[in-house]
Amino acid sequence: MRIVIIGAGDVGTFLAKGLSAEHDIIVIEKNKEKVERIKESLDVLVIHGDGDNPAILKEAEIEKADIVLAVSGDDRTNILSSHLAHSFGISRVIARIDDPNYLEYPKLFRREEIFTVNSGAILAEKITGLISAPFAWRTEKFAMGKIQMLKLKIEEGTPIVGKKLSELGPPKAWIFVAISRKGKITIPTGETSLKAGDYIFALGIPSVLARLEELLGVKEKGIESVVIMGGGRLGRIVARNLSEHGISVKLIESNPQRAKATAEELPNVLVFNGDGTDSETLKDAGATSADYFIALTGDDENNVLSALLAKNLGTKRNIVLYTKSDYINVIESIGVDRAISMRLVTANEILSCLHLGGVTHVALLEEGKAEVLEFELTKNTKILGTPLKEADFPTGAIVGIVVRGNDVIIPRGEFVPLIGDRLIIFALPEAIKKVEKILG
Amino acid sequence: MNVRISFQVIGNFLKFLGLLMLVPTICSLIYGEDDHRAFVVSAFLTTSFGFALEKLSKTSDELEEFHRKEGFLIASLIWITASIFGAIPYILSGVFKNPIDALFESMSGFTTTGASVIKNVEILPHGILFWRNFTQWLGGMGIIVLGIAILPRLAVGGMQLMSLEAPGPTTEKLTPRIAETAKKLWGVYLILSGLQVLLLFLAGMPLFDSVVHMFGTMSTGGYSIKSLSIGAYGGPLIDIIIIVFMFIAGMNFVLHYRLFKGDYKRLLSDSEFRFYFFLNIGAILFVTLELWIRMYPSFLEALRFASFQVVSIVTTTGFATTDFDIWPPFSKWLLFILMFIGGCAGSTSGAIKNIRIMILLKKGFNEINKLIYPKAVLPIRLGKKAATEEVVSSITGFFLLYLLIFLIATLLIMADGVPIITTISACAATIGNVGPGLGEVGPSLNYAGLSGFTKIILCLLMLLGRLELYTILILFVPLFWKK
Repeated sequence: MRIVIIGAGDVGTFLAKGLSAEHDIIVIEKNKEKVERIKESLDVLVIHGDGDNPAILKEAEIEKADIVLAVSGDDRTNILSSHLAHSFGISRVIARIDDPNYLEYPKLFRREEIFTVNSGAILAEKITGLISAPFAWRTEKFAMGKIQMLKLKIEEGTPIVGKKLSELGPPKAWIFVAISRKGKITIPTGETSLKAGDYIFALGIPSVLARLEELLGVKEKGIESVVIMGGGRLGRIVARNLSEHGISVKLIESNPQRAKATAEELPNVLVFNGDGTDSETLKDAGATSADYFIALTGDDENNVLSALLAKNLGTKRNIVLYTKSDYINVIESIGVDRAISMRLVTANEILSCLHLGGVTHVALLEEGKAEVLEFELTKNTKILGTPLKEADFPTGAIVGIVVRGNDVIIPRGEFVPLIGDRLIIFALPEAIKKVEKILG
Repeated sequence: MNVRISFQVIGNFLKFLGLLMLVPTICSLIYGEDDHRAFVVSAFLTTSFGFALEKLSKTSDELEEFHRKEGFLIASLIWITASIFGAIPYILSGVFKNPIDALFESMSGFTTTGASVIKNVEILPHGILFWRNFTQWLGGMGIIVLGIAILPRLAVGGMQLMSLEAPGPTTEKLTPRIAETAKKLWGVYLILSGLQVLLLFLAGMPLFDSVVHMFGTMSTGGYSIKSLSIGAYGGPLIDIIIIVFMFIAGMNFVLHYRLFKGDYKRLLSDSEFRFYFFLNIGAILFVTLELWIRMYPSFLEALRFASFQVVSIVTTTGFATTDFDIWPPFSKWLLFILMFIGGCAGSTSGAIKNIRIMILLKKGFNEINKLIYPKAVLPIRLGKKAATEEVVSSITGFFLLYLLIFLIATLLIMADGVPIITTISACAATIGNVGPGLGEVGPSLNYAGLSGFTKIILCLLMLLGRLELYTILILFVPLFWKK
């Protein structure tokens, strides 16, 4: 397919990189330096110019595109360019809109014309999800929320360490689809034994997954208080979300005007004007006893430092927002409990919206080292009526769970897929193409 | 610097080059000559060397990505190894005893220079004649571009490799994928090549001659299989066909691609094309006038010889229909100056290229205008767009280096005892990838009489000229090799 990406910021570059393996990508970027960098590193066509300039869009031969992604960091550019793309006759346009204000006018974006992705809202949802399942390192929803995926850590001294998967009893309502050991992701078999420090990816029904808590030996009580650093757009959305759940929220913002505006906007949140890397301010905001510290400023280094400082003062857990992808490998090993990337979350959401090759939902794991894909089987799917063991599935992929109507099935080799089934599949990058071929 | 990955790519490329060496064997077999053995053995040597090199430097099955620095090394090594391995058939078939001569002939082929050290081409077997011109045809559109179109190994990081090989200050991608762009460019090249063979054949040239002369024309290489070059055929129709196709080959191939797609406006609005067009017309006019007054009684005859020689030199082809070394001084030295200008960016021609000359001229005039209006904002316009400051300064740098290398080379060769006119024209003709020069290396003579030392310097000039200096020069900078 021919995909035009407007804006080569973090999100655009990540999407271009991921999609260029299989699709023809044209990137429009106004910053000359970024243009040069992408030209050198990716096999895509880069056009230097404004994405909201019709002449530039024409130069990119936008009318030939199958999909247009307006994902620059500027809402106004995205709004204008997505409307322009629509006017060129593109039926699949996705616009990244950061400011939720724009989304309150349904006439601005008709869903059938331009699909919008609001990174702030998605990120806020992710954070709320993380807080509601505090023992999980990552949560992801599939099949309209019927199925949840959790990333869990095997801690030293828990009963599960050293056990083989087959000894854990027959899986009834959950399945471990993958193990991440020292940064390498593999699909486990019954003979795989668990080691302390491993991360496992579990798929299942949310209510049942909660019982994994016992198996992993973590005991968590409910979350009562949260300290947020950063009163930007994202900080405000998260603060509002959490306070609506009845959690006591305190927010630290260094810019006096912004702190004032935040306080006026959020009556149930106590706002402090101060520096999040200053322990006095942290103490004032209650970091000594808070359940969570969430650092959401735009500055990676500040976020990490303040989170570590808060933890040192007594906060139980922390969540840190980061942008630089190089940080992922170190960030969670130095005392940050959960690191989330705006870029990854947004890119993930956009990929899910694309519905490429019959995929209705995608979750990228570990910076794209693996994917969880959700397929809905239609009458065009080739493997209808064929048992899974005869479907020639690649070794790097596993069908984790099947949702059939209201039933949730953990499929075995004998399982026969039917029309309307939703298959949730875990796949390593090299196997994805083959899976799409089988199910496409 | 990851030399291992570079070797891996070179190995992969050499396997492919070995296969290309089998093409001339078809010719040898058709004509029943025994030089096919030379090609089979060369192909075997090249492929097995490539195979071993790739095997030894490979650590995994995945196509490893390489970075900027390796890109420079790979691009220059591809050209150097192609020229070295491409020289093997000349030695094995006994055309040359001296390996320097074989390397010179091969380098002159791949770089589309067309300077020959063969004393009598007409006695050579058909296979060797085919290979000589085939190397020019491969080098014309570019062996790297061909590699990118066909080998997945080269497509990884292909954009940088292609921009290092493609002539001109900037490289334009036609499609999102580099391999696709390379295929399109080669497609255009193939179509135009086929058309020229057809026309030459219909104009009465034998089929074999048509094919090899097409190789020489489309690549602006200029190797001929006749001692008298195109002059041996004597017909005005053949002259006209070759003039037209030399002119086409000196144009930017991106324009040809757009023309095929029906975009005529682009051609007319392209400022470099207009410059190129009027440069040719202007030079033809002046030379015709002088030749008419001083040499030929007939205007048409003067026009015919002037236009062929001018287009041949401007496009850096180097074919000849007459010995321009005996022309009156104005015409002769105008041709010498044109050797520095060359054709358009993105063409198969050599030398400095029209776009660089245009920008330098505009820059010069701008300085004069600035003296008159010190506060005026004077962008250097190219059609609708203005050239950026970086492009302008990189072109100025290129121009200075080009002249500097030319001067150093002339001094070195004069130190070797070569007469002055022969020296400066040989240097201009090799760094500009033209071929014939003046004096002892004039169109009716060849480079065979020069010493080994001079030939090696000229080889280096051809390589520097074809890869537009920087790609080769960077290898001589110590900083490049530092870890």
